[in-house]
Amino acid sequence: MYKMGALTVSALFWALLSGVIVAYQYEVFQPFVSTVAMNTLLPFGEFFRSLHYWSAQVFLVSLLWHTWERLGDAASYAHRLTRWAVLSGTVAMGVLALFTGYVLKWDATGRAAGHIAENLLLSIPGLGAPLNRFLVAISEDGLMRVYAAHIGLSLALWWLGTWFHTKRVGFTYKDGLVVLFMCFLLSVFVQAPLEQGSLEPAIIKGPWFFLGIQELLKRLPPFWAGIVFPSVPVLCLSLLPIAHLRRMCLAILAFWCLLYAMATLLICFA
Amino acid sequence: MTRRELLIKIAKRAWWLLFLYPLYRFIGAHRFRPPREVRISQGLAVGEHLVEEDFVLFQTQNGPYAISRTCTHLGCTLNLLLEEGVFACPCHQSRFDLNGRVLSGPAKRDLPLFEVKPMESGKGYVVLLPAKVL
Repeated sequence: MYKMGALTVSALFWALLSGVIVAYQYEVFQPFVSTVAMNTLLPFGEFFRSLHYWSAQVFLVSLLWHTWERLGDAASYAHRLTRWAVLSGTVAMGVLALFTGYVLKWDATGRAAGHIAENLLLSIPGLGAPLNRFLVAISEDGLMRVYAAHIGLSLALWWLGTWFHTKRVGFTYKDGLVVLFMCFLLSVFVQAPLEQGSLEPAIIKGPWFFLGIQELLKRLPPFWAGIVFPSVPVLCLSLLPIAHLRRMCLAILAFWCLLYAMATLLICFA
Repeated sequence: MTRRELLIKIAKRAWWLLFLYPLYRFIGAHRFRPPREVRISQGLAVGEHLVEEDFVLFQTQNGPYAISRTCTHLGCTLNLLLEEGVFACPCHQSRFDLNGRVLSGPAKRDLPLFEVKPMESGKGYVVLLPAKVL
């Protein structure tokens, strides 16, 4: 089987590179207009935006896959709990990096996702306001902070995925080409999503990895559905190296995945 | 390990913590942003309404009122479904009546109203909104 870790870092590399290219034409105070301009007016704009989108998607999927295939290694980290916890945290950071990118396009669903994120963070007692200032704060500062967080998270992921995790850049020339070829094909044939400006959809569905939470937000208070529930798998993952907690954590993880899949299916067929 | 060695070890590993406070103050700082005025140069007859990005302006027999389009659950922009006489949230399906009262869904608070003043020229309205960048 192909090494998932190498694919993950390789996809992150292309996501960063295409992100830098897209940033040349992205305007944070005219986010939607500049994104539409990229798609419709600028030469190769649609291609580079799609390349950024697809490489990021490949990154997240391969990161989740890599995490899954390495669950069995948790025991060997029994004396390096901090390292394992930081690596577990990269999953949450990866999701956040993609989420902030989703907000930055600022179409109807991007706007909704941004406002939801801000309100979710503000629902955290005490820490919510500073976290919101650090990551979102759309209602006060527009997309400035989301953009800064998007870039910061991406750089942090690169540092954690390469130097911190493997002490080297963890992919070969061949790994890079495999992901580039995959993303190139996707970018040519499948455009990165962007809604029309005047559209006011009757139902908004967030990014695929957020659908389960969106469904839960209808049924539970924001703090429990949007903060506590998504923190559970990260916490369980972090605690896996501790021998006497391992079985319980794995059971909770499995149950969480089942619940999340059910919630996602519910909203998909709503 | 002596106290001196311990302190040196802590200093070597934790020097970067000194940057946390300036970082927290810099990132957390608020810039003053004044409230916004949205000027609407057209007049509305009784029973008419105008949908804007952040609010809907209604003209009634008792005068004009502007009601927020921001859902009080998690901030999504509400759609006005006039034939049903409700505001509906596309994200989590909360519903409000045309006076902003919660009818159903996860939202708990009613929609806020914004101050509406007549335009200086006599025709049109000025709606005062909280500060917003985009």
